[in-house]
Amino acid sequence: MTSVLTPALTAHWDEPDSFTLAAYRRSGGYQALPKALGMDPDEVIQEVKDSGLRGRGGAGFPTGVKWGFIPQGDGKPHYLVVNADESEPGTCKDIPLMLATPQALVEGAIIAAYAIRANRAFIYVRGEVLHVIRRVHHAVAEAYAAGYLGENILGSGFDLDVTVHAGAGAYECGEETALLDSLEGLRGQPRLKPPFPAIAGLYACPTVVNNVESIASVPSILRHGAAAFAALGTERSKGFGIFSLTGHVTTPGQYEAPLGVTLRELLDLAGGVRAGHALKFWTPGGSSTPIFTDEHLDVPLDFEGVGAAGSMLGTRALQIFDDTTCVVRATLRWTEFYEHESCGKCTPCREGTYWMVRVLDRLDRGHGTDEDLDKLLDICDNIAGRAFCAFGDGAISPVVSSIKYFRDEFIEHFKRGGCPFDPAAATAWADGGQ
Amino acid sequence: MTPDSARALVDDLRAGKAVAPSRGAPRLATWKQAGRILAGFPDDQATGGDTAGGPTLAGLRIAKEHGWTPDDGGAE
Repeated sequence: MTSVLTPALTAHWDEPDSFTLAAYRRSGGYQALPKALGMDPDEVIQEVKDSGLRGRGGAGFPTGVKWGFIPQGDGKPHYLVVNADESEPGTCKDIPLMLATPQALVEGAIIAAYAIRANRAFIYVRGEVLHVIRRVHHAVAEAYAAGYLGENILGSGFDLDVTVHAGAGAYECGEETALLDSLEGLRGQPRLKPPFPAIAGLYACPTVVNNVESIASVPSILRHGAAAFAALGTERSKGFGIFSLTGHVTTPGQYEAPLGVTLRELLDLAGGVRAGHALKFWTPGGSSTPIFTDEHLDVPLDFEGVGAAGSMLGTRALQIFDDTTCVVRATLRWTEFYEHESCGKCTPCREGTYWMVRVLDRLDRGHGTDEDLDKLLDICDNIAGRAFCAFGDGAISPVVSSIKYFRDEFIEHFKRGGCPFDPAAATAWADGGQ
Repeated sequence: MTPDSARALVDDLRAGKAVAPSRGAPRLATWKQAGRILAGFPDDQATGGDTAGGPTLAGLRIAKEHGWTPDDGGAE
């Protein structure tokens, strides 16, 4: 029998004490660590490379290859930084993971730090999620008390200190180099690359920045072997991942499945789009990935499949919008987010997102013209590829893709002089729902 | 949240009533308490509250009903 869902990271989330060290050990936790410490660090890197694990933070870069970029014997300190600044609209996988099983993250971080020969690791957690910060602090403290952190871990001679750092809640600080600047105490703005963090990252030293889910996947790879992980997923997108379904779904929530699952399969399990309505559009990986429509229900949700269909797998944040949703309004709301969060370093992104909101707002009110659509696309052209980081490219994704699939709906707005949709019908409490 | 529940929440906060977060700690922290936690001085609430809300467990619940595990996934 083939499992449609494969709970590995999420397997123990329903245990009331799952966040404790005792519960984590009960479910096989900290079995991977002694195994890893008994291996050569390069063997650990090779194992992660063999598993085919690709970064779960959106870009999908092979994790083991990233670790392999760290220069060895260079005499400089190395750093591991865990990017726990989850803030993409629609994305909600790292936060529940750290709330329910923070020890998986801590064990993964110890193994990763050992592999890249780092004696200091940082977990950069978004400051808004106070209880998650408490849980991560608690997990780190328990790991210290059990001898998994500190000096001479499990008698291996390997030392590691972990610092939990609370971010101040800027979306931009989820970008790895802006995160490093923020961690250094500077304003969170992206750096010019190259040099990449593997050469000059935190404090200009070799640094690996990994997403929470990537790091939390490492213990199970070491414990069950790279082959077991690589048996799941598709040819070039291996393993399992958490798919977060939100919006107009009967049963929204977290669904952990092998990469390559389709939205049709996931929607079947989640009870479909809410009763009485049909799917209109959706994001495969959060708001920074171009939207899909009901034509794309059978696109395999792996890095290649989503890419070939014109979007990106991103963080597997599946935001579902049904036929009550105005695509112009949704795009306006997303663009307002990007305008607010643009760090301001690069002019095309800072000014472009500002003007896109103005134009979209006019379109939404029904005062737009044909020229406004061309103007929007022209602004997008001027942002694409002209910023230090991927923020600009993300900000134009909803605009370009919504005009591509729903141009007629934009035109309908200025033909009728207003929005043809009732915003109340799209709310969670419409039709007596909750 | 609905408009009614949001209004009730704000009314409770303004009236100084104890408000429990829908996820997380049993007690809502004040700004000052939150500031201390962010600065790296956690309070004693880490072990309180739930570990996962209903939607968080939606997929796990279905997988358990079907007996699905990672061990037999993808074996086609």
